[in-house]
Amino acid sequence: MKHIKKYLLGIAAMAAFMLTPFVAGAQETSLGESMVNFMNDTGFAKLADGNWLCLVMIGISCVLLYLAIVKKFEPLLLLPIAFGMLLTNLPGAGMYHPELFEGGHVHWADFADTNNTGILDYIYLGVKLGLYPCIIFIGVGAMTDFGPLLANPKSFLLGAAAQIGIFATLLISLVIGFDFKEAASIGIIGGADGPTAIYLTSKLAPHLLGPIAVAAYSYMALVPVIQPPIMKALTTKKEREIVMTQLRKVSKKEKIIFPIVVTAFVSLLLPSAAALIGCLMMGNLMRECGVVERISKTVQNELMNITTIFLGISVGATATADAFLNLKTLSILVVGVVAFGLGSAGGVLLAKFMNLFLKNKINPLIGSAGVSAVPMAARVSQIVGQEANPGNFLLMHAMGPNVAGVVGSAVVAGVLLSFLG
Amino acid sequence: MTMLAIDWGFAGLITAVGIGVTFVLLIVLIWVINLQSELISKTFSSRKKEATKPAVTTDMHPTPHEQAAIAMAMHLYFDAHDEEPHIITIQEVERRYSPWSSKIYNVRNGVIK
Repeated sequence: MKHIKKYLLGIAAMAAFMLTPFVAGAQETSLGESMVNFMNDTGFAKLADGNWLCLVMIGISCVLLYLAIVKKFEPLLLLPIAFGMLLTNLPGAGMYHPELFEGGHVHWADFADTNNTGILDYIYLGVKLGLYPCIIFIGVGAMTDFGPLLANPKSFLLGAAAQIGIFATLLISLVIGFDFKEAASIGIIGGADGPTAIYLTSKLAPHLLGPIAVAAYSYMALVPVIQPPIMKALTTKKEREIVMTQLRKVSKKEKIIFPIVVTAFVSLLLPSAAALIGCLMMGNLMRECGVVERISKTVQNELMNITTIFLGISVGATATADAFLNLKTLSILVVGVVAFGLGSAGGVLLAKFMNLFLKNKINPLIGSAGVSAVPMAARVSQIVGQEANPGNFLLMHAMGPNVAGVVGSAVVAGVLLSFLG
Repeated sequence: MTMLAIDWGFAGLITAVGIGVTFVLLIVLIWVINLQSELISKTFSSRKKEATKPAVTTDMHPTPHEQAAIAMAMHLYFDAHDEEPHIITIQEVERRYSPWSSKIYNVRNGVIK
């Protein structure tokens, strides 16, 4: 009985297949033509039609997916970025249209034509309007404990020194041939702060968003590889062995007043940094005040995760073959490492300089944590410090410059925006 | 040629002002934080003292560390533990016969073979 049903279904399918040309013929369309149109519409045909660079980009996205999944290089961001890159480079899918954002502006009128817009165009609007980095900064603020910084405010200096790498890289990028806006966007990689880099680049050089985001997040994941040789080269074993005095306990009142004071003070002095600093401190106030536990948890988890997905996908979407496969990308990747290295070196050298005047010496290794990369850079300081002196615990001391670096890079972004924006 | 095309004056200005503003702003923040912590400690210290006084008087129990220190000091002072009698005794318990607890009157005795 089952077999009879199978045969009947098969006969029906065959009949339908045989009848189709006659039905199509009635509408003056031949089966052959339909099949050719269908074949021409496939992505494979478009790949053969001179879009072979997309294949290279698909390959690169697969490498990034490998790094995210197998090597666990910042997987939370690298995975959506890599997948966004894969989606945008599928010929014919039409998910992202760079022409809608040409010239650094959103062409709102073109969004009316829904046939010429893809889902990634809509998601990318969040980056273009500067929404995602600010929302992520609220989450970062809610997850950050500024206690070590408040206990040792001198850490702010180390956070500032690590930003020197940004300006040095800006100058190097100018020499290479980038214009001022592009050079500033490349320089901010040295701040090791993903949301800040994306925020500044989307404002100054949106066409470089893909390479800069990939470079920033890749190098942030490579902090344990990049920083230790620089830290060891710039310090003696005796300096690395320095044991720092215990940090004082910071009261809850101090932690609550801090975000309010910093927001008001920095925003009044540097209004262009208000968006980033304001969001960071708002998140931190939610955490410290203790009366909005539900909101604080939402911001730290659900909101942060949702925004991370959108940010990653849309940043990956900008990495089209035309925008990514050129000499500029290669230069950005090389200069990005230099920015990271110079930032780390700046923090270590200032810590050494401060030791000339301080009674209670600070371990210069915590200076390298001045590049943001929270908390990876602080962990590296701890690990390198314990290699020299196993009884030394630098983690909490390094968290001070680490969170100061977040404030510092947001301030630098504000300065660059006010000059070049 | 590229080097000549760059407006180095502007580049220098951005770099100098950028580094300067970042350092000045963060140094001022250090001063603001120090001022803030001083103000908080001054404002709340008097209230804190009042609030902590009764807590100190009511809590008469020494901390575990203090207890350990006192015990150690006493041990060192007396140079011995408590004296033990070193006599092992077996307490005799006399149970008189009672039919209420006797096994010979168990209800299942008849069934078990």
